[in-house]
Amino acid sequence: MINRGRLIFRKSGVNARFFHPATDEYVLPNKLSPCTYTKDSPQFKILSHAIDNTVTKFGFSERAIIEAMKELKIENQSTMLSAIGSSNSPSFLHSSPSVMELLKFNLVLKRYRMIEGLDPLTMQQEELPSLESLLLKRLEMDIPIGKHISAFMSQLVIPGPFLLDSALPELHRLADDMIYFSNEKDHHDFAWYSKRLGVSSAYISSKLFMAQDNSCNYKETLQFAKDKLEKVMRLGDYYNNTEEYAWYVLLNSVNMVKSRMSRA
Amino acid sequence: MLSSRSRFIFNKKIVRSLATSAAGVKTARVKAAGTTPQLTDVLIVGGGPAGLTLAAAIQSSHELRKFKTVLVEAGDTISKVKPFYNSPPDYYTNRVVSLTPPSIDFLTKKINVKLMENRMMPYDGMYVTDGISNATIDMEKDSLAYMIEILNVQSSLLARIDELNCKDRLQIIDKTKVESIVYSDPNDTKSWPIVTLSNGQRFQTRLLVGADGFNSPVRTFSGIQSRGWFYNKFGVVSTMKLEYTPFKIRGWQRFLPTGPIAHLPLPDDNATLVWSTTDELSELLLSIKEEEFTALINAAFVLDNADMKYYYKHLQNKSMTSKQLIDDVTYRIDEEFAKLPNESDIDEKYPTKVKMILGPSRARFPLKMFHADKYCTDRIVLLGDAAHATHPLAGQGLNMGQGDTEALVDALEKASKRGLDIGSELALDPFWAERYPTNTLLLGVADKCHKIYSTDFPPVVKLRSLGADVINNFSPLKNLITDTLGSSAK
Repeated sequence: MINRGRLIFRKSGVNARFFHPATDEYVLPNKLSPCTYTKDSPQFKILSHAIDNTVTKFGFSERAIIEAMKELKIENQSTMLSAIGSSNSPSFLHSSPSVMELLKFNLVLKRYRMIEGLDPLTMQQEELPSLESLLLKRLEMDIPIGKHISAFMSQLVIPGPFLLDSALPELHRLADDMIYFSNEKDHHDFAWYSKRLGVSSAYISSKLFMAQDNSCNYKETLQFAKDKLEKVMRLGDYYNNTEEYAWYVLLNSVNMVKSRMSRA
Repeated sequence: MLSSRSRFIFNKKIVRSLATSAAGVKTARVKAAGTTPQLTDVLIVGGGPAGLTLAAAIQSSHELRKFKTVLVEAGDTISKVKPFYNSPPDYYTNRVVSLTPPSIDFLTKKINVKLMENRMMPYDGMYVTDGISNATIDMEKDSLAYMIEILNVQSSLLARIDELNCKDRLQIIDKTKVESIVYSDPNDTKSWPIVTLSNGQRFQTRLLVGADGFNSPVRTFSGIQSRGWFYNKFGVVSTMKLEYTPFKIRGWQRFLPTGPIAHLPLPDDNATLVWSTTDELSELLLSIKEEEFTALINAAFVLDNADMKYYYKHLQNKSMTSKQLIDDVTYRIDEEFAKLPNESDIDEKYPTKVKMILGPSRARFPLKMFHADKYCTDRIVLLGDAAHATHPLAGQGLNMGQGDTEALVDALEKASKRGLDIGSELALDPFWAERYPTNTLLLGVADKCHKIYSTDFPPVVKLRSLGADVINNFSPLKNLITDTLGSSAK
């Protein structure tokens, strides 16, 4: 109704604004939140090129970024390096701000790639992938950078603002997306937290396993991840069953007392 | 014409006056929306064993037969179940239950039901083994319980109802569903409920009995909560033909890690099977050929868990022919038998081998444990599966229902003698007070047995085997358990 009204106004050349904002009046965000630059910005182009091409060779370092810039024929590389790292505060204990950005970008980009084409609001429950397949998909994305995972993980866990501001929230977003975009049942009670915690721990432990894995195409890592996720889920089942049982016993005892106190 | 408000008040007055009159139903007509409801004292929803037992018990009791009773059943009770009594089939049906002596006494002595004795089988104890450690509990008691087809119970009760010649007091309406239940005064839960049936009939009843099974609409109407859980397991049932008539008439039960399998005797060379197992395996058991299923039953009682896993795997992958399976099972069973010091030990330790199963008798049903918070409230009683559902491993489901019915009949008789309204909570409370603790105990035993035996975690296996050995060698404890299982309807 409102849209039709707006159309009439628009056609008649009268500029009318309604109180409520309409979604069609806004363009979709063209950036991968929490990264602040848009998809057509030079930062995005350089970092995604680095992730797909140069990191495999040079690891997560400034050199990988510089090489990416060279391949993209971008001049004034030192200024660009500062621009890339501008959202991170420099730290004595950490790599340079631009490398921190590259680490963060790797996490964000792959999270978005993992959920590409999935929309729980329009898709049927059965069309969505399983939690396990999303976890494996995310792990498989890191196979090309397999030999740098050890260095990558150690940079992420250095205590400091980067860990708290970027690495941990990104891990939480990853677990949240894995559950939201899969056909996994979600909960509105404390299990909301415990399930996300469980998925995060399965992911992190698989990643640590991957850092040590020498098997062909990381087959053992993928098997480890499957087993780990199953264990975590089973643990959740144990917890739920215990809670259900405890609740039953409690109410059963109340009823028992009631029946004993009733007029027998 | 009365305004709708004044008519409502008028209705309420009539209903109140009826509700307070203890016995005898006046032929007052209550006008409500649609047709005028007929008045009745007891309306039983569900013609299963519990519902039919209550109907027959009310009509058999001197004190209660004055109460006008209606029984509503969705199935084809009159034309399908009734003829079973006089012309039973020459095979045994697959819905077989264990009735304990108190249940049998209640049926045959108090209600005077003449069960079809040639189609039921008393058995002298249970031989229970652990599928992993082979720890055994050998409970022996003459006529511990009776194996009987549910159709036998139902048709015998219908025959008894016919014999009572009480058509003016008991009306059985079959092939009819309950469409709605409302209180005659929506604001008063003590008012008589009005039940509308799918054939258009409407009844206003003093007491509404829900013997309508696990998904009880009456329980939903009453607002009584039922608590419990599904085991995520299924019971596979089947009727079996044995290689020869067994020498030892007893029930055999083996706790496999996937769930217990029970082999229970029927007359002559017949037996019945209840195999509780996982969802996936139960589907496999229903889908494989009859001769493969027969081989698996024989294997389950003798062979190791590892052997069973091997067979399941090959049957699932279809990587073993029927002949290979049967030959392998026979070979391994013979190997186990050869280890026994005496050949006579075979009949002592293992059930008689199954020759074949009756093809269409294979079926599965979900296993669960549920218990209603209360069995009665004003005007409403829950009976049988509507009040509780249990795992079949202890063979107590139907007996609990029979025990409930007996306690309810006692409570109603007492209430009637004292001039109480039989639909009031005051009259009904003693029934639930008596049954709730007993049922809690039996549900708990079955649930805990299921939980303890559904793992192959070594420390638990050790502990439970130790427990089983202690029970088996310490007769007072063993007798206590045997007596509890054999007298559960008391």
